[in-house]
Amino acid sequence: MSPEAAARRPGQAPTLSPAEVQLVFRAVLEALARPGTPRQLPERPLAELPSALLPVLALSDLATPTCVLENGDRWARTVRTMTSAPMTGPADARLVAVLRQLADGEPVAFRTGSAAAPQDAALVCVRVPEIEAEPAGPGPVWRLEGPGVPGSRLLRVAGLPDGFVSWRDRLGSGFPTGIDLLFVTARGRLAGLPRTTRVGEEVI
Amino acid sequence: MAARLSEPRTGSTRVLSLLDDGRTDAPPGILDEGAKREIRRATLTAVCVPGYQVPFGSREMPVARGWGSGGLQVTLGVVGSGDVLKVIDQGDDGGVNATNLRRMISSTMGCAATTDTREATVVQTRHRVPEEALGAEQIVVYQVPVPEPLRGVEKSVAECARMHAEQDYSAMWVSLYEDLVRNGVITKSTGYPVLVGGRYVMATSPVPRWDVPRLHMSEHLNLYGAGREKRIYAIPPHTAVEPLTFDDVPFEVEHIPDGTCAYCGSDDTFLVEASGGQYVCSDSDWCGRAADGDVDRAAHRERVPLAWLPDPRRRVAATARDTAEAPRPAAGVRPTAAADGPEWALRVDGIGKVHGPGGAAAVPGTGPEHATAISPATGAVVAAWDVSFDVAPGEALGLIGESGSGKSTVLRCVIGDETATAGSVRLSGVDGGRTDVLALDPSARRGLRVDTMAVVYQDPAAGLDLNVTAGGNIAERLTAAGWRGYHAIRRRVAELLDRVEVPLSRMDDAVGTFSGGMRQRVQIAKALATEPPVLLLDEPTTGLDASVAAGVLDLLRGLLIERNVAAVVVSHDFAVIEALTERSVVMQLGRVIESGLTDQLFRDPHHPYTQRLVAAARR
Amino acid sequence: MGYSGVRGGMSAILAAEGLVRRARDHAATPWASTEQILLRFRLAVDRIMGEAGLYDEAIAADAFRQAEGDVLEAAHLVRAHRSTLPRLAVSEPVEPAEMVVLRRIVSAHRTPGGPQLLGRTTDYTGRLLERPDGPPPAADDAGAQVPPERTCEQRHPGRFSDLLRELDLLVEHRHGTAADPEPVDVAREPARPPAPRSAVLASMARAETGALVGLWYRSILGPDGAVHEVTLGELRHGRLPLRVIHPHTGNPVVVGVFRATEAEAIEDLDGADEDRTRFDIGYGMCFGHNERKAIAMANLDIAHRRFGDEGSLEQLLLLTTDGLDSGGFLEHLKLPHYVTFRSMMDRKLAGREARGTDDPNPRLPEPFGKEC
Repeated sequence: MSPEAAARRPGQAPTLSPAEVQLVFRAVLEALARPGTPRQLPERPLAELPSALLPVLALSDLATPTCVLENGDRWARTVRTMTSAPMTGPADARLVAVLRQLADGEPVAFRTGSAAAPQDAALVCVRVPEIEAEPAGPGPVWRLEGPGVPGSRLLRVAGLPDGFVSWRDRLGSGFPTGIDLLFVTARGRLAGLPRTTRVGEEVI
Repeated sequence: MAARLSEPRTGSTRVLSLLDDGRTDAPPGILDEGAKREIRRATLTAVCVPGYQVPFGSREMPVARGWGSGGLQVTLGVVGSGDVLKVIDQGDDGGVNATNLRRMISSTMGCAATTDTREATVVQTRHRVPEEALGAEQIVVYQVPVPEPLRGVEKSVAECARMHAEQDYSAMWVSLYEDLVRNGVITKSTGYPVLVGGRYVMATSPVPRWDVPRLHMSEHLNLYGAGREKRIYAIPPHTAVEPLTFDDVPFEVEHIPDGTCAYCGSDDTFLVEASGGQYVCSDSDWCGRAADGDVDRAAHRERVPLAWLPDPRRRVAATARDTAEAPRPAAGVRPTAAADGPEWALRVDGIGKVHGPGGAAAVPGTGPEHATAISPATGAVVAAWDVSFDVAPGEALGLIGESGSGKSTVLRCVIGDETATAGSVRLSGVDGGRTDVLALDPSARRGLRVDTMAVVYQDPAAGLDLNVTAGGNIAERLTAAGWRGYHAIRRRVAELLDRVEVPLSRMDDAVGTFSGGMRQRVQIAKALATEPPVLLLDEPTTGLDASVAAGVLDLLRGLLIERNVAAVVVSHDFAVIEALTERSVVMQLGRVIESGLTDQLFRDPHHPYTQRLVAAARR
Repeated sequence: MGYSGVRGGMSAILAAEGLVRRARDHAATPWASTEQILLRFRLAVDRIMGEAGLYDEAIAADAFRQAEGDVLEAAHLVRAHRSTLPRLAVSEPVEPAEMVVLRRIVSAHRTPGGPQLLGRTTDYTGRLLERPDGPPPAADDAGAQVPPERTCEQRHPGRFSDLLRELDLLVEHRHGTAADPEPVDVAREPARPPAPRSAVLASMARAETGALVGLWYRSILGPDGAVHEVTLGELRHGRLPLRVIHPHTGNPVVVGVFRATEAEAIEDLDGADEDRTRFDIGYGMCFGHNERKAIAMANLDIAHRRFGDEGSLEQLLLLTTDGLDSGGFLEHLKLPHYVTFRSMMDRKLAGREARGTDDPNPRLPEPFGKEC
């Protein structure tokens, strides 16, 4: 059980009001429009739902193939109950929440869309321990460039498997195919990495 | 179709009430929450693929499609009760349409409304970007009547979708070229097409050209909603937005010489006509505050597109003389065969084409020895089978046979106009000849025709747009190959037309007004425009009068001699083959029956069929 | 705000709304109740339901009244209403064979399987204008004109196309379940060419009746088009049950009954690549009683199947037949366009300046991304 879920009162079904859904969407929209500039998800639902599940809960519906990568199937059932979304494997999902640690080099194939239908690509929300924009401390860091980024911007995302950036670069067959990523901390800090963003790996 | 359920709602209601928590904190909506999710997903994709028109299941709004139903849906998907909304039409907060939309949105969404651009978090607009600076916390939602920038040059929506997917925008460039040729300026007024993020051509809403530079590397997020056409697209902040124009033709914004606002005195805003021959700002918020001294005029002057004011000295008529030495793009430079590469430029192995069922199984029992192309087993037509040849740079190969012998089928398979049933096609310019180009996807194959393998069709209408000028037709190929200099294109076109002996005085006339021979010369010029290493000629003189055909033949002979091109000439006429080629392949009923040096075949044909062809040519 | 222009603002809107409400809702005549509209303007109500894509007679009737009889406007009201409704479930496929027919004619056969039921129609009534002051007196021999009671069998007649199929005179398109993909929901997925047949049929089912009829007639008298006159195989109006899967039991349950019109058009195949020894069938179905629409739809369906690849028909069907699309776009011309017009004037003057001549008849520019 995730630490977020531990705070839930037992026996009560989690909820997301239309107003909260809108706030989640706006945070996701801003995060993807401005890669490297983290946003904050609304606080209240974090008490009863894993933060990385919120974008999926806010966006899926009964026609959206959705996938939750977790240990067990508890949150997948929650998504199914709350949104009626058809649950699929990661390769078929339009929306994906990754609630467990991705293993090093874990090859997960996601939908990357096509030049004719870029909208078929997956939006993947990954739970991470920490996100730091323009970090000051030494360590590995991403240099982001592309739409939404004035010049370049530094972002540090902890807890991803080795080779994550090159794995992402290899997905699809070049723009406009690819996947759009969201990184979410337990406390609801959210950073977006749309397929347009070029990521350079550096150490500062 | 959906039928509304008249019975009491069953278990699904439980699902929804869980989702919505049974709360009633949202006022009664004009769009259900499920539809908003769909709009939001499309909006996110739009941000992640800037300039791409994302399809969405547009819902009916309480306003007619065309009245901002798309912008309204995007706004309803985006705004929450914490937002401050501004709605403008033509820049004006006070018009009936803006007023109506504002009351509709703010009353159903429970958000505040303002006319002050500085206070707004979301601005829904029709036809303008506010004059005021827009910041990182602001979203502009545009109402879009016609989202497709290619509609003017391509009426088929399926073809437009293909052009976007393949980034094939040469038709757009041709239209700009034609516009300049005919009018001396680009006459496109509003909704000016832009290239977003270097990838997608996008229609700008339509806002006036005055507002287009504001989209480039903007601080704010731009969202576009087209309700009737069911498309959402976006320009994220800090994204390159370039108005489409040639490198040497400046983009021009609207300008009224000495125009000032009769109300606030601004001389650097977008002005519209008012009564009595006067002008006023179209942005009513700006105008009102400017009159009250509540604007930063200096900062505004930095924002406005004064660099793009029309300048007759930079228009094409004035600059034609000055650019003689302007650099020419490198397009058309082809990879030369490496020392260890193949000797051939084009190699065709075992091409076969079967129309009908059976595939290769249909082949037995067909061909010259059976005197039929129709498969006794399946009834399929074996149009060509096991046809192989190669051509070296500087060489011309003839493919000769009667009508129905399969020679044109082979050519169409090589080009990609038809899908071969069997065989392979290699080009030394593609992967050193290691890749079978038949296995490439259609988009890559189309790309080959830009500068790797050009074709001249029997019917000029198949290779030319008869409504476009001779220059425009050739510009199509050049712009596809990346040429972006108007004068460079003009000079290259003139050079080519001169070479194919089309009078330069006809350069700016529509090809439809040309004679058959002249059209064929233009088609040849277009095929040669990017100096492709391989040239395919399908009955290039058939259908022309004898004297005209002789002239075109002379031209082709000269061109093939002077260029290091590998040519394949398809003809039923041995005289044409004899005039143009060194080696030939004779086809009958889909098979190769004889091949060799052309003059030997012509002098001493072995096969009776070849003898007939030769005799016909000598008559 | 200081200047006047093409402006109105809230007071103008409220005044306009007031005029409509006063004249419409408070006209000096008895109120037209929903029931009255349902019973006296049945065909208008049916047409609204079809073009709105929502089967709810009372809502369509209310929209008819609110729209002052403007059927397209009423369809708009109903569709906008539908946008506010949550999607609770997706119905099971409707089986047309279950239709309880109220009317059924087969013009291609004298005695098709089952009866020809003329039903409620004015087809054979002289179009003579009646101007009664009230309901005409009930005819004396009313008893004799009551149609005979129909048996269950007569209400479920066999299908003429099945007769043809038994004679092996129909091209077979049914190739097992593999070729039966989920139908496209055009209310959720924008359908654009190339689109599956289900999207084209669904678009036509929601299309404006006049647009479909016009598109069909264009092929008869217009300068282009590949559609031609077919033989009408089956025309039905009747009731069909609608089922959804019960969320608890997992079984389909009937949640309502709706009326629909169904048409099958028999096409004489004559193309080079076609099986000229057989017929093919075009299909049409729409909500309510709307025979013109169903027949036009069946005609256009078979035309699309035969010629859809070649030309513009699919784009015409998918993108130009929706009344709310075309009507809305036409009406948007009434909105202010003075910013865009100012920009157009700027280019006119620039072109004149660039040519350096006052030649009033310069060569015209090519059409280029013309927009509104």
